[in-house]
Amino acid sequence: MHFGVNLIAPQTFPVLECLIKEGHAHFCEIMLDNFIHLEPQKLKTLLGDIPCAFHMVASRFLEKDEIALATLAERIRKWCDDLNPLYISDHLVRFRDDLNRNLPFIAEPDYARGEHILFERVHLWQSLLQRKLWLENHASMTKRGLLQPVFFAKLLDATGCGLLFDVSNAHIASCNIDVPYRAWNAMHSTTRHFHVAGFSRMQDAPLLIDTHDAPLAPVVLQHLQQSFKHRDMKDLTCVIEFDVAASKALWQQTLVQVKDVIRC
Amino acid sequence: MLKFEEVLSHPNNIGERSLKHQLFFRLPLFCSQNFNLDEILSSFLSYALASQVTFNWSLPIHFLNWCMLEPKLVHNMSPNIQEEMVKAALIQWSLMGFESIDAAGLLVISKYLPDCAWGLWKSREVMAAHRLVKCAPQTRSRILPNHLSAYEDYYIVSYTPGQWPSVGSQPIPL
Repeated sequence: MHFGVNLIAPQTFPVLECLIKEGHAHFCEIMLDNFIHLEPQKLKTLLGDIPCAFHMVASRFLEKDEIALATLAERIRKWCDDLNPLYISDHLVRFRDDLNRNLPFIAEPDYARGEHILFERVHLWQSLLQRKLWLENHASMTKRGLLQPVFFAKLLDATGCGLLFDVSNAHIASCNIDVPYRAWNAMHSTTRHFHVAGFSRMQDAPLLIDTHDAPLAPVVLQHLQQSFKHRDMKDLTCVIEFDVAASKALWQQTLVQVKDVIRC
Repeated sequence: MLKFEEVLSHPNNIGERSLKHQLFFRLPLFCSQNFNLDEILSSFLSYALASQVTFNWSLPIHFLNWCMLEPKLVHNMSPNIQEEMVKAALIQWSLMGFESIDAAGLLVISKYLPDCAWGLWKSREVMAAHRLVKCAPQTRSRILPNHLSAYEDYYIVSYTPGQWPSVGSQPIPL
């Protein structure tokens, strides 16, 4: 098992570097959105011999026109050539509505009605990137997410993309909209890349939000244990995500906790 | 069909809560005035939807313009608060990493800040942060052509680090 820590801003790099150099983590997952404007060689110099993976949040590949997407893919391919990431991952979500207005919050697509269009977009994005794309399951907050696991199963078959299984997102969706965690069993038992993070409860509402700002919940640790029970850990990765200025101590403690739970 | 209004109407007010956070999170000075933020958001939202605002990076500038026309708010809109709103728009632009990769910076000219312009330069080094800069009146007058109205807001994108172009300013998008 290769453990990763996520780099969302340059200020957190010293903590990540320390965790990796001390052997608590093995690679750095770069949130490409926040670094893509730089020359990839500059990040390569900073990373030195630290392996990396690429994660994207707002590529908007479901919404961009083909020319814009091809231009973006060309830039990302250059990053891939220079930094040779372990994997490249993205989110299958909508940022804008059909009138091009930014949505109040990221929305899941209409899995039932838009199935073939979504397959085509994933296929297109993957071909433009010229490598396998790993798509993260969403921390559903609305009923649109009810069909997410069924859709993902079909998507993996239809496009050959991979599932970046976010254990905490699956738990959040199970609490928010009653999609059982076990609905993902067939997929997470075969996928190679995982995320896990802390979450919060929305004030005055029965909703969990994927905030990446808290220690892991006990129930998520149980899910982790279950997910890795019969797996050969050799080629698997798991990123422990923190989005705010997490202390080295908290990050390190969480890494130890996860390793302990999955006996790695 | 996915519509903004549909997402906004989800149960538990998650749409409005999210918008409230997005709009006010970078406006600590404005929020320190003890306004009823829910009431303000609701009125502004009605205006923004009717005006076909697209809720992109320029939203804080539309909010500034709306506040300046609101009799209940205008007297509390100090120059510092007005600048805070322009800076919030610039920061929002800088966070859309995949949308303007080759842009080096963005400059915004607000009709309510006649003596200056605010800009943001993206970092060019991994360990450096983006930089907000206040530009002198000369920069403003160089960029804002004479034939353009002083009663509108404009922006200009620079593709050369450290250098604002003299031509190419555009009205702030909806």
